[in-house]
Amino acid sequence: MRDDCGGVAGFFEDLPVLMFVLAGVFIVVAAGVWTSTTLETQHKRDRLEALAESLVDQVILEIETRLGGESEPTVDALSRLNLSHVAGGVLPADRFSVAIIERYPEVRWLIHWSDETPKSPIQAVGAARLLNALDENLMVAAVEVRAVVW
Amino acid sequence: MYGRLRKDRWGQLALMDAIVFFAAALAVCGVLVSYARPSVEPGMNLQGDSDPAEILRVLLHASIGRPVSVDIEGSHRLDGTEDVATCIAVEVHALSSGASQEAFSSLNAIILEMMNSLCCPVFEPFLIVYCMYDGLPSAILKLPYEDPESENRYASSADIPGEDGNPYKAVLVLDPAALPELG
Repeated sequence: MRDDCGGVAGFFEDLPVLMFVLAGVFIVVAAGVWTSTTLETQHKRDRLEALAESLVDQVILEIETRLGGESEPTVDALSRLNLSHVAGGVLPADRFSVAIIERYPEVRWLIHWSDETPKSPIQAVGAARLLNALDENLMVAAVEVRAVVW
Repeated sequence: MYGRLRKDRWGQLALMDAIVFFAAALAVCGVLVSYARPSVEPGMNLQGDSDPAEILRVLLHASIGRPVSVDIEGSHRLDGTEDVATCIAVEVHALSSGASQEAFSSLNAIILEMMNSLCCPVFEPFLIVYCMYDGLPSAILKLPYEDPESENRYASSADIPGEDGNPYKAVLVLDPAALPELG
């Protein structure tokens, strides 16, 4: 143990250096954590978007196959449709909700099917398609098929 | 290192190294943040009620939904089952024959209501019908009458056979007027 003032001077000289180094390390670590979190969220969102779009496409395909043909499907037939089994072929293990909504001339909920209700905060992504359907007054209505996947 | 107090400039060297390290850390941080910045590009994934092509296709095939009378050559009544494409064909034929757009105000109000009900609320829809047979295309019908304001717009077009046999082109423009500024 030495009894001079050399050690004290060295310690205080290095404090600013230490501050710069710590601040540099901190911002690099923080940026790395933020980047990985953001990329993971984006990746998950892209995957859910692709699933939601393919689910809507599959539902539209089923509607065209079952109810289509020469003319548009009827609103009545759409409101009695249950295509929940379609999701099983499209979604590996994700939850879903599909709704068919009339947008014009009336705004009304035609049918909805889903597997279960979410219990915790979720990241949900939706996709939608529009199509025409024949309503009970022989008007060609505008109908939306909307799927939400989480 | 002898633990002695030195009064020369060498002590600054470590501080300079730290500053260089800090600057390099800032640069790395900037690269990481710019790499992972969320890409907010509206229109890259337009679909459903945000896709002008889909809205226009469904709009032109949909019925107007309720009876309406138009004031051309006496009163002409549409019973509501006519699709929008047919109604537009009737209107542009009358307009090109010199009729006033005022005569179609009820019909135009219905078409506007249909456009707004089919379109995502963040977009303002505009329907412009061009006359394609007389030299350069000229707008013969605009719903609503004013032009879209935004620079970045999304549009789709479809041909409408006119009642007079002339070709018309309907263009649906989605103006993201209600969207916030995206960086």
